[in-house]
Amino acid sequence: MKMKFEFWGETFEANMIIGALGGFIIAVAASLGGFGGGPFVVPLMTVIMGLPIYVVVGSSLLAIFFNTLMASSRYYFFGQTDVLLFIIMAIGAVSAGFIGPRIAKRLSPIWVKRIAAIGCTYLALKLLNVPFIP
Amino acid sequence: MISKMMKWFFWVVLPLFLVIGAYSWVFTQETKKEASQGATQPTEATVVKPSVSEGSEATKVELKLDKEIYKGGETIKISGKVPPGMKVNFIEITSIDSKVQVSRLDRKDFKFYLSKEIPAFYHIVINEDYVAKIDKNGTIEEKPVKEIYNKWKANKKWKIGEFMKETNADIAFITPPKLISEIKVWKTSISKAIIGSRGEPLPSLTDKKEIKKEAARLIQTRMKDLPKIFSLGKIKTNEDGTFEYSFKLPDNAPPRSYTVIAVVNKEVKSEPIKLTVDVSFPKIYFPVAGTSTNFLGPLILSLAICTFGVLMGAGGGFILNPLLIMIYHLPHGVVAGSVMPTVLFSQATGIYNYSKIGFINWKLGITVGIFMALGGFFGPLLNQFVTLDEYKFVFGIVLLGLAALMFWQTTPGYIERSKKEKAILEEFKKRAAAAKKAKEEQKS
Repeated sequence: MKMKFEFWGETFEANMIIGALGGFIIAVAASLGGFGGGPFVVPLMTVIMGLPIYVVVGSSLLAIFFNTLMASSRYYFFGQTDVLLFIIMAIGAVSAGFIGPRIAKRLSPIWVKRIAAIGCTYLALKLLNVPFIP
Repeated sequence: MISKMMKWFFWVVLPLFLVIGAYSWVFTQETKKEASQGATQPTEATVVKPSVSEGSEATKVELKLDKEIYKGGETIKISGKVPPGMKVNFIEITSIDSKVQVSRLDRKDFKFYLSKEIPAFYHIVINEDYVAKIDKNGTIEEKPVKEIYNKWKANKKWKIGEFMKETNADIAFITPPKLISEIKVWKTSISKAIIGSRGEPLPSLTDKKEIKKEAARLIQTRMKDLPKIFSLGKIKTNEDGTFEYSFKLPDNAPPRSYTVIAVVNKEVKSEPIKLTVDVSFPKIYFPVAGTSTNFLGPLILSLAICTFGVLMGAGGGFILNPLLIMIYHLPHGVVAGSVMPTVLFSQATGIYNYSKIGFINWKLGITVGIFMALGGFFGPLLNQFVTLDEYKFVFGIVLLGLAALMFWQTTPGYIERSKKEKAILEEFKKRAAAAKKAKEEQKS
């Protein structure tokens, strides 16, 4: 099923079955784990649904916001939100939003991503209990 | 025009109604059940009153502590006197004021248990020289407790019920059943889980024996490792019956009142004696997580990880959550539930800024968003149903996927393409800002 929409005078067509299913699966994983999911939704919309990046940046943020809002309220009603921990984490996250972009200008994004890829792999192997990982 | 409206109805309004409908239905179902159970509660609550020790003067255990108020990490010097010929075999230490919510899905019969009254700290010290007596169909078998302890300690899938039975530690498992007035039970099924419900509510456990059994399992769910709940210690009992033991409180001990009980056997034990743990700034107590730590630790961790997250173009949650679990041993439900809302601010400001320059396609965003909201409705429920190991497994797979994505974004082909796309994006942003400005000027 295709959905047509207009963006800045151009008309785009996207396969919404992929969008809905992909969004749902990403959202389940993201809300189960407690992370945003942006790095997965953007490739879903660009690579798999074939939309250009300038359509996706804002719209994907809106889609993720739905997930975060719903999951956060669910966690709150389940009594699993530690408000104190949330406040401390939020202070860190919001200040990071100011500090991050300033540092980003001086760093090569390619190298940051390479380091991040190694870091994530290491953490993943630790979480998966792979033997011989210090 | 009509077909466009039909599409809107099909993709946006209908799913939205479904989500809201399911949510409110589940909510009323659960509150209804709670209300009906609450009505029968008071009569049963009186049953669960502390039983006064029936021992006479001769078989009483005296118990003393060196102080009344302690800090996390300090040592409690426990001393006292037992009747001659007896030995203190167990010491139970419970935080009675700081309680946490713990839930557990029993995979055998798919029952979901939840209690909000699990002590945030619980420990039983077992005398290392104790020889456990196991009743095997009438014949009593004796086994040194050390052997049993080491056997279960090596087993990752240890069972608290069996461990306590074999070591006789269940006679020292005294306070939790008194502390917990009820344990809620649901019978889960896939059809119920799909609509986001924990399942069919069953009558709560109020029977003392059942509470005792399930309380132990919930404590195991929360503390996970055997050495955290049980430890072997040298409880020295002298010939005249005096005994002493030093217990080191963990650094993250929750605040307020605790009780200590010294146990000789099923009949002979001391009265519970109270102590207070004081948590003072900069250490603070996280009431839902049930741990106290220096607040600077999580703050610096969050700041550092989220800054790195901004640099790599992903939220901090990916790295923050596993680290919070590994460093502070927080329950995975609390980690997810507390870290997830922190990104709401940055997302909201992002959406606001993009919408100001007309850079959001609402139709696309909302349509995908509805399905993401459905996923977000389901995920937190799933989080309660999975064990820590399963959570780690899912997270590990997600992180491997993220690492692959990151790596792909550093390949020459991707860089080339993204350069072009970024240029177009900047061009569009400029156009959008200019158009916005022109519109405003027209208005004024």
